[in-house]
Amino acid sequence: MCAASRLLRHGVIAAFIALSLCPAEASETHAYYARRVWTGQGSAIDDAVLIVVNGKVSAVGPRATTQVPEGATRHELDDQVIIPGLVVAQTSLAGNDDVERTLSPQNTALDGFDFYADRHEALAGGVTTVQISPGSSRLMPGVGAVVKLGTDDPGRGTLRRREGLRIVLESDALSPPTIYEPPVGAVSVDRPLEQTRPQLSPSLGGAVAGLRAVLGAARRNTAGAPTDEADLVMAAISSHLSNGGSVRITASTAAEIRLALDLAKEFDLRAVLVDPSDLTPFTSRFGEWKSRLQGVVLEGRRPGRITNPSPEQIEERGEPWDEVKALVDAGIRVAIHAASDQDLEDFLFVAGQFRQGDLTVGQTLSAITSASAEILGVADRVGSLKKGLDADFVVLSADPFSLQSHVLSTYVDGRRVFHRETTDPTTIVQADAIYTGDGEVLGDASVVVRGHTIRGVGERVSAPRGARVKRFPGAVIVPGFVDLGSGLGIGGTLGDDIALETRLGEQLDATDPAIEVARQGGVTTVLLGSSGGATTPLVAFKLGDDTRVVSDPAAIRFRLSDNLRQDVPNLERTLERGKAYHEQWLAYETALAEWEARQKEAKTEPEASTEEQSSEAETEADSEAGGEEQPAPEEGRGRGRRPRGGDTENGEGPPQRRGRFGGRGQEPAPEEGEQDEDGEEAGSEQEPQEEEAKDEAPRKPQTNAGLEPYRLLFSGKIPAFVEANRSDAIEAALELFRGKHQLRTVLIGVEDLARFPDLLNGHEVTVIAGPSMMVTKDRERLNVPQHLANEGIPFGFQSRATTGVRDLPSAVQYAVSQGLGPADALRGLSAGGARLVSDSPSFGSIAVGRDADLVVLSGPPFELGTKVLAVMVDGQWVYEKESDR
Amino acid sequence: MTSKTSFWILGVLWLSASAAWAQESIAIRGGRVITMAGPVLENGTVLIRDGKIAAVGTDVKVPVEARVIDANGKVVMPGFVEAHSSEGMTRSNETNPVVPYLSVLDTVDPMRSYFEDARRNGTTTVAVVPANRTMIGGQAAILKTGPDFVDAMILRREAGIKISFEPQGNASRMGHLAALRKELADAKKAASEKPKEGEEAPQSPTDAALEAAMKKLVQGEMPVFLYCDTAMDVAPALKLTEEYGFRPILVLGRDCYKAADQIAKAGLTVVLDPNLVFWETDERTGEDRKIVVTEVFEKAGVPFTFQVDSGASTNLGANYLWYQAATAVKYGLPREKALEALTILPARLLGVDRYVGSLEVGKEGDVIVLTGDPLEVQTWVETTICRGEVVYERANDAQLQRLLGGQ
Repeated sequence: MCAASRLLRHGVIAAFIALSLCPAEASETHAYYARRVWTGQGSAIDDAVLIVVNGKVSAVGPRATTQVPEGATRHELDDQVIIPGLVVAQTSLAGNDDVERTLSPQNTALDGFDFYADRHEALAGGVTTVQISPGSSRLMPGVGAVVKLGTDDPGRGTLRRREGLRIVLESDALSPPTIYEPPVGAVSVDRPLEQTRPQLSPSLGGAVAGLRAVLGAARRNTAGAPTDEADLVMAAISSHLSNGGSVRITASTAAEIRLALDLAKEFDLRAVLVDPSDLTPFTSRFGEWKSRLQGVVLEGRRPGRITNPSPEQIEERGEPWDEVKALVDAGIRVAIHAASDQDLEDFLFVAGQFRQGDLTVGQTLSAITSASAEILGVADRVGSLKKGLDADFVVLSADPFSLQSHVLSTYVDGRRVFHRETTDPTTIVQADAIYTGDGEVLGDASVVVRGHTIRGVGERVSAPRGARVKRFPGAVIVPGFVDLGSGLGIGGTLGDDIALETRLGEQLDATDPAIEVARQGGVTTVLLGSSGGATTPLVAFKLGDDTRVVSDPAAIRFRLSDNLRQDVPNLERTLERGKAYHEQWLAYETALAEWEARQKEAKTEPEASTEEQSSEAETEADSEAGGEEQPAPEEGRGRGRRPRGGDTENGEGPPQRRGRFGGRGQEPAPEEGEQDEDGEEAGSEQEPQEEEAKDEAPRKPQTNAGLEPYRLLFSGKIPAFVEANRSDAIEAALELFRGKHQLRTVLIGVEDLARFPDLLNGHEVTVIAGPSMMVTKDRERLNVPQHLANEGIPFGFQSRATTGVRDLPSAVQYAVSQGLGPADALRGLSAGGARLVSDSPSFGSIAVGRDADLVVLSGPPFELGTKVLAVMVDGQWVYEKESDR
Repeated sequence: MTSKTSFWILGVLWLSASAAWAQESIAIRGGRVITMAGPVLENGTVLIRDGKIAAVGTDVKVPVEARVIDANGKVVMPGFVEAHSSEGMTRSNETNPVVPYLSVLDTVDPMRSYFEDARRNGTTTVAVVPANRTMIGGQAAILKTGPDFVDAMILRREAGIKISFEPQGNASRMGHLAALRKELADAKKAASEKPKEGEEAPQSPTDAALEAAMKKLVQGEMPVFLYCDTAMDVAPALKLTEEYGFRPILVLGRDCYKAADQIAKAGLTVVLDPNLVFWETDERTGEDRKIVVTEVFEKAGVPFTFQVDSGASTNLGANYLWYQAATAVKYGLPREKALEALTILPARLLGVDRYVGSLEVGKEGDVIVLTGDPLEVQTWVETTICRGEVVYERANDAQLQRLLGGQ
């Protein structure tokens, strides 16, 4: 847009952009569509459009009924809100300098206003028009003016050259400096300096008596030409008054207010009362005031300022908004100004504090827009959004005075003069309800997302002010769904036999079109693995654009076919072998820890020279210890990287062989043999040997990529997914995985389990349901997840599909229609499913610190009419339903 | 020395000076003549007689008695005109704020190095104006830069009154402007009142002088040099101009470039601040930005001329009028306009284009001979002729020779 005001300050380039672009742009027609437009007159129009032609408002009204001229540039502001540019009834942007003389009505604030100065702060606060005041610590410091900000053209920017002859009755103004009288002339020879003289009386009574004399004389003598300086003062006052100029009287205490009103009455002044703090004694007279006062300007409290008023001050002053409601109800125009020009940036907050005085939003807004403009006499130009007025408006992130609503951009004469750069990476997603996935439902809540993580959940969340807000009115946010068994992500079908050391995570193909389809259904995390084979790894990854791997392997899937006699012993051997490998490492780690402890003890003995060595040893030990959780990737990968389904022997080979080589598809390397022996036979001998010898570090066992997953399995970090259909297979599996090895076990495809829950026999297992939720066994239709839910068995879902992953939620929806509770269903699709894979999954629920995987639904989950509106994976929007607009 | 002898010496000096001035004819021959009033003449001749230009052309007949300056391979052009300078005075500001009755002529010191430097650098006419720190300063005068007698240097005595919009001391802008308006309003009122018959107001002489000078100011009898310190001073300056019918000469401070648009609308010619290129820091972002004042005004369509900065700036080049013009050319000002800004444009602005600013028959014999192009750094002023008198010759410039170490 042309020339943000901050650029105008300097810059040849900016200046020329402004010069060259603005006229062209101003001649265009713009239509701004917003969720709501507040016209400044107290009311708001929902779903409205504001039409700006040549820098003037040409129309404002509901989107449906307002005619938009052809060729208008459309600006969709989505759920942002438009209010008129704010009009501040008093500022000291003209410098607030005082001259010597206490009566100096010939001073004009306009002379002190720099149109070329940087007004970025005020514009950032939405302020577009201000009254500028002359000095503040003289009885009559001068005449104010009304100017627009955001323009560097003094002609266009001046709304009123003279507004408000200022009179200050506060104590500050009552002690001006003593001055030379008469002033020093051209030469001092014939005009000797005289003693300084005080100006007027320093008491309030004296000052007002002086004012009476001056105002009276000015009222009587409106025509006479001034002959000397005193008359010039008078002439300035009388010309101001006879031109219908208003007088703004600053009066704080009750006594000052009374005198202000007296003066207004006595001299028939169009008076504006400024900063009255003790209004309470006058509440009964507000009706009378209405005809006498042009308006009342109240001073807002400084935002975020903590002060220590004395008890007297508290007694005397009260709050600035104490009587605001009574004033407004009496029909007196009320405007709000900021106590300091520094507060203009937060002017909406300053004004919003007056809502404590029981003003409505509309009333409060009008005190800083239309009412303020009326008091200043510029309501025919600014202060409201209606046809013919200047297109000065402000775009807010939410309704004015709602918490955390802030100015996004400010327009003056249809030109955007301020725009908040949304560089903050934080997004706030708002909806009518949030289902956290853990069974909790939050009403009217927001999720704060920064990076790929959720930083806040709740009704009133903390978030940076510059955060982008994404509102989904009427919608529901649920966690991204979890599919515990899918086949997508590699751009094709996965072969049947995948060796256990295969890192499926490295084979993911982010361009797989199935990913795009799948997430449209709301699934954000899937487990991928081969559907065939006896022992195969599963990878968990996100359906984001970068297919981020969550864990690899995330689980090992075992399969018990109907041929139990063959499968059970095979599996048994496989597990034994895995366990041995695990224990070998376990022993090594224990030994290493002990050795390290001994080394540490030795170090604490005073041997300065070895300190360096020992610290080296420590770091070595550290790095080794660190490597224990994740086996060194180089080693693992070096052997493990196999094309999918690369090894035909695996799974189909003779049981002996498979038991011996653990399903790896490669020549048995000589070291491996050694290592096996180490692990199984010599392992126990190793420790005592070490202790006796020179206390060398324990020998690290050889890494075997094909067996590495078992370390995770046996240490409980990943679960065993066991596929068993028939009841006897289930029993055998339970016996083997739970009874014998106490592994984390997740059963798959357990139709019979639903029929015979007693099969569990006290074993703690979890279950994955699907792809079909309803099974018919023995002419009986069974709702598998519903049965699981009623038995208290934690469960998740799988689709066994590629693009069909998209339909997993609707399959669950079907189960819901057949009796599964929606809450259980959602849990199974999100947090419950995620927990089958990990004790503390990073995905699956909406909570602080979890991955930002969100699904925005048009209504409550699993309702038949509910659609997916948007999907976020790892903080990135990956799907948004086309708007109906 | 008695007063008698000094009188005689002065008399002799005056005679000899005026004799030379009145009689010597100078012909500058064979140079590339940039007349600023028509096409450039290759191998042209400029003839000066009785202090005025008698002929310019390629076929000028050179009288036998004329002193001939061979300008072969050199550039000949009119002497430069500086439209605003507060140098050359013993004191340039007053203490009292309203002193329009004072004249710079009473404080000009022809011996100040400013004049010598001006001659050395090709400037032959300068408007000496009271400086910027007096609200209504004294009267300006347009002077030649040589010879060494003030009376002989005068081109125009009452060349304008200076008004400064920059508040002085602790004064606020409001107070400053209110005071200025009051002075002007008072003067206007006084000017419109007819003195009552037989009733002489008892006035001190200075009050009378003040009133007379203010009268000239508000009745538009003299141009007004309006000094705008910042951009925000431009609007009141234009407004007062409109109100009082001033003949304005805007003298701008550095930051006035922001108001270039307003000035363009008013259609005025301006005198730029000596500081033409500078860096500005955004207080908010800390971002530095290079401002080229001439570029701003050129794009806004405001005609401008230059003034030099005597020693105040770290930029040595700003001490030379031609360097200012060359800077403007570097940043895109057409060469032709730059040369005009050194000569005919300021002459017009000051209202003395009948006398100076171009090489035309009848104008004053202000000619400079340059060793090369006027906007080149390597170019030297070879000879400066002011009113037909050679006031500077590089060959005899002892200072320069000392500086350059015996070249």
